[in-house]
Amino acid sequence: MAYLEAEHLSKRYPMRGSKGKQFVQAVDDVSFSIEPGEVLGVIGESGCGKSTLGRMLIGLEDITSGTVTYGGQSLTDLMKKDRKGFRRTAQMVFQNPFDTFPPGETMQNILLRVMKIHRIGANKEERLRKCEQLLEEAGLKPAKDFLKRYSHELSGGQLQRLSIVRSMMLSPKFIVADEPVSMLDVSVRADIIHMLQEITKKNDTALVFISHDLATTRFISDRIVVMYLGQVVESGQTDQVLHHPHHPYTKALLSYCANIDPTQKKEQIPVPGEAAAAEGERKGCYFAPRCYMAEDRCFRERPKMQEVEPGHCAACNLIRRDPLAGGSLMSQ
Amino acid sequence: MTGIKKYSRIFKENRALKYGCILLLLVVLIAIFAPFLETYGPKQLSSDTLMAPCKEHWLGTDDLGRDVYSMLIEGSRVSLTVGIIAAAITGVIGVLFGAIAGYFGGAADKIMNEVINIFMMLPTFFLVLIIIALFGSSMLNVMIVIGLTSWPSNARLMRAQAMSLRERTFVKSAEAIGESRTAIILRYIIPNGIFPVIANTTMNIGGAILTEASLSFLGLGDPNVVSWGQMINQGRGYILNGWWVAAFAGLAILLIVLIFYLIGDGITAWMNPKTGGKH
Repeated sequence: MAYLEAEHLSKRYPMRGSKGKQFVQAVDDVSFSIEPGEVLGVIGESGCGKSTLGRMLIGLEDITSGTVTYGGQSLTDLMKKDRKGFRRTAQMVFQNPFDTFPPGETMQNILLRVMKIHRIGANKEERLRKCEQLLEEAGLKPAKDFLKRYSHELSGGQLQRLSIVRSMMLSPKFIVADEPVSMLDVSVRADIIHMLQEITKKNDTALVFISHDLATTRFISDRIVVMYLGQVVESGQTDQVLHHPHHPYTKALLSYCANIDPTQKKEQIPVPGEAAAAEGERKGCYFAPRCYMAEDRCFRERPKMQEVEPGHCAACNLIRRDPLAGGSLMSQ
Repeated sequence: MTGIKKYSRIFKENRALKYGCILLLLVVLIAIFAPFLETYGPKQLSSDTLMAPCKEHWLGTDDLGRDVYSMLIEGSRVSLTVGIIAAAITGVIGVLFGAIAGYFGGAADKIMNEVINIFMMLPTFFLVLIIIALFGSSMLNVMIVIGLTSWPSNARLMRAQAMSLRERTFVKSAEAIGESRTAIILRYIIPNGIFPVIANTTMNIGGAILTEASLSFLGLGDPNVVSWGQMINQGRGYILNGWWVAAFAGLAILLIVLIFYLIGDGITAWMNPKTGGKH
């Protein structure tokens, strides 16, 4: 049974001064499920609602409509009944490690505070010992040295490690990682990804990995969801989606993916214009204005999710008639 | 950079803060050691009325023969107490009110913001006058009334700070980690957003001292204590043949308000990344 299920999740932000008549649709009717220990990658360009989706999943953002259920219990019930208890099951790793910790507090105070809130460890000594042990395990040695420091005295990679350590302290069953490596040097990205992977494997933690970077997402994810303007346009096993994409947006994304070999020429699929503002009610396929194969009906009909192969779905009106169908775009 | 070095550099580059703090320290010392500095009792009457400044009475005497210098020293206590306690009240109310409004947002913020606006609109001084007229003019009343009427500027500053801090990652992550809302306001919002409020509160001290002096000048201050405003009030009638009674008290008020504005300005400059702490 799926551990987490999201059904028809939507988030609308009212526009200022419109008295609730106008709104921005950040997330629009998103559904998916995650098994325990599974890693789900969420891909999309900036402003497509990935982060809002992630925050809604762990109750940091109010849900406009739709439901999130954890092991059969709805998120709103869980939050109402035992907010602290729910925080122990669902955690988040944030994009900006430099701003994740309050300035003017030592790491020791920050980490001990978490244990104190959740009554982990009997006394301060025990908590401190546990802190040191966790830090050493995370490769932050010597732990004593790190515990004394302030957040501005540490590097992005170290801070992101500490952020992961702090989240894992509560041994959650589910983590949302919101672009955890996008602000880090390329040199430490792999370390952080490995750490996330290791820790989630060890504790059988489900992970939602939000990113706009195809390569890292491909590396860590079991399954992938591609989002465009708040909607899921394609979902499936990582290899299915990246090797045999069916939605024109996924294809375009992949065609722009940098290759390690600069001599190898890849044809890029043109995507003219910018993502339209997600304001108000819209008709038809959201991607139609930028799509290379859009027809009249794409501007009128909202495409439905259809299964193209077992476990692999795409939302496009013209799946079967794509001139680029069948071609493997991501070689290797 | 070590702590002491860092702070000595701040003082070196920030002249307003430096001179403000030095002068404030001086005034505080005077207030603490007032009994030792006074040459006569501040309420001690004598037959030498309206004497010009001379050897025995450094700053002269008033119409009742009291020593102006000793009254001036004694008055520093009143001014500092009123200023600091009244400003502390404005600080506490303003910070809590503003932080709650800014952090929760939505309907709570709308209502609380209107309350702030209403208090801002009130003609503070006349409200103070009415309350003093109704409840009598003890020092305590004066301090509380000034405190309760001048907090909206602090609340506005804190509200703006809370609104921007609310969206910062460390506040979101505190929420995610399971901090209660009260803890977020007290441990994350207030400590990280209080700086401009501190600067403003320092200036409020000057404002409170002025208000107290104005009340005393109108004869509505506490009649049992010697205050600078009262001295001006009494000296007013003798301004032509005994200017020293009112003049030195006026200068003292000017100086102490200036000190608190210097410090407030200095803190503002110190916080401002554009001036890099220089002023």
